[in-house]
Amino acid sequence: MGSGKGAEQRPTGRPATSAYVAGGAVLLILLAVPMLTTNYYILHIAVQMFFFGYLGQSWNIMCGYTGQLSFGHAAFFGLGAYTSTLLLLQLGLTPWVGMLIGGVLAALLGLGIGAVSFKYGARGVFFAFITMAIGEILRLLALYWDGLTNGAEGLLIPLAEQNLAMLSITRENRFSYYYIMLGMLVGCTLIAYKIKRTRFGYYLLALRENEDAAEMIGVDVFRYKLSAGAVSAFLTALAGTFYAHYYRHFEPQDVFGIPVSFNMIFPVIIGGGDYMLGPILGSIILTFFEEGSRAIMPQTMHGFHRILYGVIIVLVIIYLPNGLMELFSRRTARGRRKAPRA
Amino acid sequence: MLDLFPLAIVNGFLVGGVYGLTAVGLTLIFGVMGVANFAQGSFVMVGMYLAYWLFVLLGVDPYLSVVPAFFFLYLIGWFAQKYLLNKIMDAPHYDQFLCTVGIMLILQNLAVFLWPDYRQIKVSYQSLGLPITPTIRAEVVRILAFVVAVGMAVGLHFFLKLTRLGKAIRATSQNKDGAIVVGVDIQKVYVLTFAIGSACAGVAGAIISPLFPVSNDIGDLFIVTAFVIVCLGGMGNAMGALVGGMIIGMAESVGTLFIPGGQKQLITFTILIVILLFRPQGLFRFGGYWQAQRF
Repeated sequence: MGSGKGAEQRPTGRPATSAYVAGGAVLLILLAVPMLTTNYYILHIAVQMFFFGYLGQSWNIMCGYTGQLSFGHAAFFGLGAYTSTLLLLQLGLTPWVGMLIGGVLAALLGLGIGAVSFKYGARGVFFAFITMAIGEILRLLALYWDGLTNGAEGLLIPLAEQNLAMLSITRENRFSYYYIMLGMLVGCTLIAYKIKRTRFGYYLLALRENEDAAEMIGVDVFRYKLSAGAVSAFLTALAGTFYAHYYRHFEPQDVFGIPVSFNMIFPVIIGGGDYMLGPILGSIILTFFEEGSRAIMPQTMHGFHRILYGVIIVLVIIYLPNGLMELFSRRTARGRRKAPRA
Repeated sequence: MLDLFPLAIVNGFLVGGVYGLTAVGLTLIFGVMGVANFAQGSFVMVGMYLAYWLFVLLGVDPYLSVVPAFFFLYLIGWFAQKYLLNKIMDAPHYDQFLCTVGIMLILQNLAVFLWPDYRQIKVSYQSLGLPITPTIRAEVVRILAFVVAVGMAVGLHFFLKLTRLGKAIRATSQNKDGAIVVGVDIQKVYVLTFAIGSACAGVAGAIISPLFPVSNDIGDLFIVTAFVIVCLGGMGNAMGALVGGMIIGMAESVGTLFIPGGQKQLITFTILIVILLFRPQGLFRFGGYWQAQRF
């Protein structure tokens, strides 16, 4: 959320060859990690980093690129988790198909929320509250419609059922989840990159910076905001399915709760939403702090890493408004973007 | 069930005053600065814990803790605005409310860290009731909470209407540039406004400590309710927030009679969405010190 100039943006709008080489090398190393280590904990941490990086990336497509802040992306996340899991448990449908159905449903929900809100001109805080209320409504529905959703007890995916890795989860093949999440993260980043570097992305940037001016020069503001929202909702719902299969049990609060929505936002804020790799960097740092403080502090003292989260967020917003990526980039226009005058 | 109905109305009305006070602080901050303060719920929580510890350690009556709670939260709000939020007042609005989310995380999880369990205070007059009609007896604790909350809200109203500082606050909310031109130090006004808004939350926390369990997640309940009330009353409309608080308080307590559990929140959130879409200026025509339609 800064000046709108990505670190990797060359005058031609394409990354340098060295960026491709570096990216390829990092990817190769990441692909090799599960072969080098059998340490289950390291793989889990890596999956966490990919997971929140992915969520941040997909949240950013709607909220960072268009400036329409959503505090209710948990609605899409939970919808994805519940749809695919219920299809699997009730109909035996493979989660790979269920995942897509969940994604489509979430995209439709996103379109619906966007269409109604934007039609009535809800912006800024108003829009954020509407999304938050919708997430909460879905959580309450999941809680009380217990004939279908099993209510507060949540859903359990038995080991014998089909799961995302198409294998039953044992210590040995747990790494398949590592590859799935890595693939999803790379795919999501490529989609985000494509959106950002095409006409679509420039329209989004224009309407973020000044919606009225963008509309004046002929950008179909309504349509582009909706499209960004639908893509973002779709991607978020896919992560919901992943979550369901990775943990194999979830309750309404785990997938629809307000903290879920916030957890997607933090990596973007910390890393920097204007940079392609910002959400990923943010996720790496937050996961590092979270797991680190868990390792150091005794079990009973949970809550400590969330205090750290809070401190980091406040400091980053005040001193590094473009996120930590700003530190690594040489080509950024420093300084804070001003809010448009009302 | 029907015989419980009048009692539910009275109880809801009384607690609604406290909801209203929380929302008045929130709406004041929003009206003047355009900042949706997510930390307001955790300020309520801090006020509750302050009253709790003063009661447990020193035996101070929770209604006397109103004064320390006011000043303590005033200081927290003053600090937060002067050293944190004032640095980013020129930034896009989401930076400010994400910053308050950060403050909320710090305060709330500090409480999780220090006091993970639920606590409760019982004052000596907890079970006393005051007969309002021959059949309805309202608890004294609720009446006291209502009187303090509404008193504070009305006091704030006159402060804004009658004093020079209040005038400066209103001027800033109506037109920032105009206020600067006539010599208002708007940075100071921001600090003052945020401090007063936070102090409202602190007072609300202290006066409801005998009524609600003292826990680290109580802020979540209050922040959601307060935002619904603020939207109901119109963002920036202080009198609307007070009346909205009483409406929500009554709706909640009557709703519990008919709808079990937390399902009544479904209705609350639906109302919230409808209001945000169709009447973002709030339900009421009266009491706006300022036009909140800038956002």
